[in-house]
Amino acid sequence: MCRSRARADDAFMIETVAVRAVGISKRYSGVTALDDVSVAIGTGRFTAILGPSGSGKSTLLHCLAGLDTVDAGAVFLGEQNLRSLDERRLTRLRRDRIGFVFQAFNLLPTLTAAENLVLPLRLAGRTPERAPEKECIDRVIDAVGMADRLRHRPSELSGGQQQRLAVARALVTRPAVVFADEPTGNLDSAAGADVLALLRRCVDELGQTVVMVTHDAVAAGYADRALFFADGRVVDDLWQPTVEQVLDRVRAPRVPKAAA
Amino acid sequence: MIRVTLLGLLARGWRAALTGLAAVVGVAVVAGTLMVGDTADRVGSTEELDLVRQIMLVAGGVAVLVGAFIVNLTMSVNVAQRTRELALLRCIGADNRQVRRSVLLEALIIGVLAALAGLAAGYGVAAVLRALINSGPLPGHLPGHGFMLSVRTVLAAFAVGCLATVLSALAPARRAGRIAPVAALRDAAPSRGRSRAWRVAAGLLLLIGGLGALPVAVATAQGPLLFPAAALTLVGVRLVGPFVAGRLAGAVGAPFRGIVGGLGRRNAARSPERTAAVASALMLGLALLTLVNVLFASAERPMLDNGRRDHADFQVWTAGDDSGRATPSDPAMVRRLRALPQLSAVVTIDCVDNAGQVCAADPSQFPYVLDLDVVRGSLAAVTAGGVGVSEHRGQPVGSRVRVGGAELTVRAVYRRTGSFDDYLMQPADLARVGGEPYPVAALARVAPGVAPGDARPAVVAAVSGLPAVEVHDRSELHERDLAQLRSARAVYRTLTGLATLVGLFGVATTLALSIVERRRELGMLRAVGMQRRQVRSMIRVEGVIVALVGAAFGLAVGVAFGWAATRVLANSSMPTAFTLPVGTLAACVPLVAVAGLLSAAVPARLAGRVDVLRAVTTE
Repeated sequence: MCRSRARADDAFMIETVAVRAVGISKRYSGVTALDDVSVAIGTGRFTAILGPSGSGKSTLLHCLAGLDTVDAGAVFLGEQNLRSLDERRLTRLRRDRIGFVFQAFNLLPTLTAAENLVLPLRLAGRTPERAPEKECIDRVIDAVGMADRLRHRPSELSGGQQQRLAVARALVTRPAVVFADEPTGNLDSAAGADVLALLRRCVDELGQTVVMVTHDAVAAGYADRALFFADGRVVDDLWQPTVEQVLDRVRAPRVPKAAA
Repeated sequence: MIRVTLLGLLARGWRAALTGLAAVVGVAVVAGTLMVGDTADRVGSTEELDLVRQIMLVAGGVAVLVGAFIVNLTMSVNVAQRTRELALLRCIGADNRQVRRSVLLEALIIGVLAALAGLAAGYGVAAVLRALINSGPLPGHLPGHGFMLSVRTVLAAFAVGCLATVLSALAPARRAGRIAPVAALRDAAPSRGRSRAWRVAAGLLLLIGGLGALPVAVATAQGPLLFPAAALTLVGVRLVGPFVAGRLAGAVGAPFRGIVGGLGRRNAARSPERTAAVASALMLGLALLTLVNVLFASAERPMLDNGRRDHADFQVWTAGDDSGRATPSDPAMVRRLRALPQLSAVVTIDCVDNAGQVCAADPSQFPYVLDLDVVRGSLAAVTAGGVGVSEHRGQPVGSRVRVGGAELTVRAVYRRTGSFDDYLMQPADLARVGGEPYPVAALARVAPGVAPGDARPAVVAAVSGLPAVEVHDRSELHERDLAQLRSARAVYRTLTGLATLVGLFGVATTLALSIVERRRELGMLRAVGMQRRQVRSMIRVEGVIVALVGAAFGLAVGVAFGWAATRVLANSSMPTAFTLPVGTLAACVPLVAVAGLLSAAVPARLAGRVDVLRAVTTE
């Protein structure tokens, strides 16, 4: 949020790749969740991953984010092959280079909003009270509009406020990629729109890379690119999707359609 | 319903087993003691083991009580965690009585299993007891191998195990019965124990009653008053506990810094009801441990003091209970002793039990052999017609007292010792008191420059020919007394330590259960970059803080009761002077902290293993 990333030139589909999956497969007790999937997520893009439940879209997100391991293939965050990392290094990578937004907000009930916000920094042993972290945090707080709520506990915040706080927490470490898993799943449409607009601003104004899993066509409409998932494979790839396009695509899932 | 309950128990596996674990220890102590008792009956050494048996049964009772506290706690947590599941049962047609009974049935099954495990473990307890009895620390003798397992022991084990678990499950079962079917549809967070105002009010009243009874017991010297006072205090702490536990956890945890320590501290403070419940289970054991330490330190001080004040290098008295009466004052023997050049002073003491213990000794010689702690007046002034009075009789110097048939003037007031209970006077006055005087001992001091060891053969020679008379050295006597006191202290410490151990089980159990509850949260922490190591430290911090809160409760209650008990005993035949064994009690704190750390070891491992994906996958 605090450094401006060069935006990918629209003339090129993908200028630099933030995170990349190369032929990854994943099976859970006989069920194929990912079947030889290869995707590249562009830096400074807002990418939505869509698909019916059980299609493997969440598994893809988990594998890209280093939360889950793959059975075959490899995941690269920048130049880093996640498969080559041990448990400790992977945790550190998540802490320092990846941000998460969960459907269930997942804020710590015992901490205030401000303390939740700086949790990843504190875990990394950084001091949020000092520059340059301080400056960055202030800007994040500003961007999510939580300045007057910092002393509240999560239970005293509305769902929308909690999720905006979660987005702020994901941004605070200036991660390479923010992963959002159904970020609007627990929100009403107005609060959901707020959160989506916030994610959009992160991409437009700050060049943040965002990957979001959703089943909501409206949410996908905020994205630069929509990847459609079914039966563990990418079945479609839509650039600058409109809500109508996404709805069409969802209604006729079996008909392959050329990328826009 | 029975099938559902059984399957539910099986499905929860180790979590259900944890509930019973706390009850096992109590059952084991009771069963082991009964086995030892029955075996003693068979070999005919019943009487000498009576004391051990009584003490062990009390210890078993305490262990059962602590266990019941913990069963109550774990059953409550279980019900809270299973709110949805129980509500689902209600949805599909179970009525609230069935739900309630299912929880009670579960408790009964756990009780039966705990009784079986306790019986098995009882053999271990019995074996340890036998080893302790036969090797010295405990009195008595228990020959042979193997133990009797009587029907009575088996019945007692089942009664204790099942009663403890079922009674503890009553309140959780009632709560379970009140769960509304609609709770199955809500994403119900486990309910936090909500504490109502009446609880504090009632708790405070009980605490005031319990602790307020202590000064009353001291003032009126009514020892038995301490028992209801203890019961009131215990329940009071349990009720008020949740209101102070949170803040106390914050204060105790203040030294834990950094994000990991801070999170651990907040976790310990987040559910005060639970922290207080664990802490009061731990409190029981620690309060007893503190009480035992205070009592023994308070008994040891007068004993050490006596040792310093005792200048008699030899005490000559008669062995056996009935003291062969006239012998230590046998005039010929006393004359022989006085004639010895190795001795500088020989004082005979005769007593009569009439209106208290009345003793006579030559007050002019007395200070050479015993430095009685004279508070007012002086022993030299106790001439014919005068008397020295123990402080607890409350008679001022100069007042007239009637002792038996004698009318005497108080010339000295001394602090009571084990040997001089009430009055000390001139031998000539003793005859006027009435009753039948009996000689207690002859006290002898060596002459300056003579080593006691060198004088001993001469003293022994002087008393020879009087078969029952024994010569005792000062150091030997005091060492024996101290050794007796200390070995008794070791036994009591072990027993109360056992109760504390059961309390620590509670820390481990609740921590493990709360980790199940917080799986999502732990997964999230791991997802945003908390290392396994940090997760484990966080849980350990929590364990240490909860244990320390229990220690704070226990130390406070233990010191209060220790004070009252020693003050009540201060003027007993076993005089005590309230002494706070600061070093020992201070050592308890790091010990408890380490114990908390150890009891958090398994929960910490569980927490470290929590699957990161749990946080991100929404069911």
